Amino acid sequence: MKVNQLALRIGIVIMILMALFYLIFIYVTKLKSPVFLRHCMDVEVPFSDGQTIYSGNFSLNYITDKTDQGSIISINFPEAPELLCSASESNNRSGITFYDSSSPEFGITYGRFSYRTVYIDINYTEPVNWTGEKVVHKANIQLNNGESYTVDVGTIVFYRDQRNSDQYIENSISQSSSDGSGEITYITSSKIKVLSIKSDLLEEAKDFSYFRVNDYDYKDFPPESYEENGIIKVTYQISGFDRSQGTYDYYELRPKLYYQDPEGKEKYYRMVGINHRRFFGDVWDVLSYLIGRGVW
Amino acid sequence: MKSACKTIMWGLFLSTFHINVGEFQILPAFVGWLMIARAVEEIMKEYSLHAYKKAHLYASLVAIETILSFVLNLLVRSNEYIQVLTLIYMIFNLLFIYYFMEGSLEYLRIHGKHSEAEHYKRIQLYFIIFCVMIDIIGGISLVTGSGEWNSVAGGMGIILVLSLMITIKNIKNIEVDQQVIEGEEA
Repeated sequence: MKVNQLALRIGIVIMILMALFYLIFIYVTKLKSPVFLRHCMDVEVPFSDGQTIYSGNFSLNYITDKTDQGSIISINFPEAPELLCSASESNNRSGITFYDSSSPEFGITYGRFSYRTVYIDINYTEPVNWTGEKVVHKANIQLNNGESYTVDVGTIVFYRDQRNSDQYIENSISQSSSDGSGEITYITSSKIKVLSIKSDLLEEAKDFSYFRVNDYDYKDFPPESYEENGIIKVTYQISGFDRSQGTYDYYELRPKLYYQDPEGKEKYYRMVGINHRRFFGDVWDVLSYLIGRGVW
Repeated sequence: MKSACKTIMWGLFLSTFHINVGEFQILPAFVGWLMIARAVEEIMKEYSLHAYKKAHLYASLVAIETILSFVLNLLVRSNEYIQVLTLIYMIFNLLFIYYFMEGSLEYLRIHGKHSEAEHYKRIQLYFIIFCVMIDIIGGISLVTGSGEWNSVAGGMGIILVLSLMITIKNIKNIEVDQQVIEGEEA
């Protein structure tokens, strides 16, 4: 057989195999429904004074097929029906925009997958002055193409604390790294006694290698008094964000720091700035993640 | 032969470079491939060679594929299964190039241009290798969605077409003695 003829035959076989591989790949990796990242979040539900609408907003991330033309237009949480939310995949809240939010191309594309964000507004609660905490794991989403799904969103704690205008603790400096480590410094503005830290999510999240307050583990640090301009240093390390699966993929925690105010009353302060999220580098990261989630 | 080769060169040019108004293509790729198929048919009338018949068949198949692709892209948006047509296009494209070059080699040999035929036989092998490389890189870009790989495949595709146009131009310009073939036919 001539060399060129042999090269042609080998070439054709390679090209047919490539086409077959592509077809099998898109068939096998097709997502039946959007896959939400496992969020571990404390989300504040703001008060409404009856005149002004204070809408709290937060976002959730999910992965879907790049060709998925559906966009989430509605979301509700069956475990917390008192929360009435609206959803949009465009974070552009201005009235007039040239950006077509109906485009299926928004989000970050990784191969045949699209990593998207849905922005959620908590418009009001029922009853209006509800306070407390609600833990949710599921969400019902509705898309603009008529499809609807019940999805696993991780663990979200919606909270509405009693009104408290006292400001004895202030967030000063916070820094976090992509390796999951972070450090936050809080400054006291008056003489207080720090008692303890409580957070259901911290208990539940197994990805924290440590969460320390002034070098003590948060569970057993001794109550300590602080003068004005005292420094409370929080350090933490979240692991499990490599190719192996962590418990959650997106952290936004607000643990409660209990303290005694100068008058001896016990109060708490919501610690903010404890954020971390999983990053995807390429399509293989997304594939590895979805395989780990047992999607197929 | 010479005017048909010129038509093939124009066909290759039009199949690769498009003029768009908005999202609408004024001269879609299939126009170029229909021109190529028609030109190869003209050559077949002059030189009834088996390789040219095959080249005509595959040029026609590429034309059908490009028409199908054009229509599907108008009707269905964002369907990954349509993208597999690009890989099928590459297979037919390679077969067209192979058989057109094979026909041209026979044409040169008929006219006693054996050293030129040997030279273009090597070029035929380079075209085969280049086509397969483009297909593999294009396949990788489809799977990974990588813009970089897509650009590399696109750039290599343009180099392939330009090289093919230059090769056809050079073959067309080789002076052949028409009496040789007339004598053989007699």
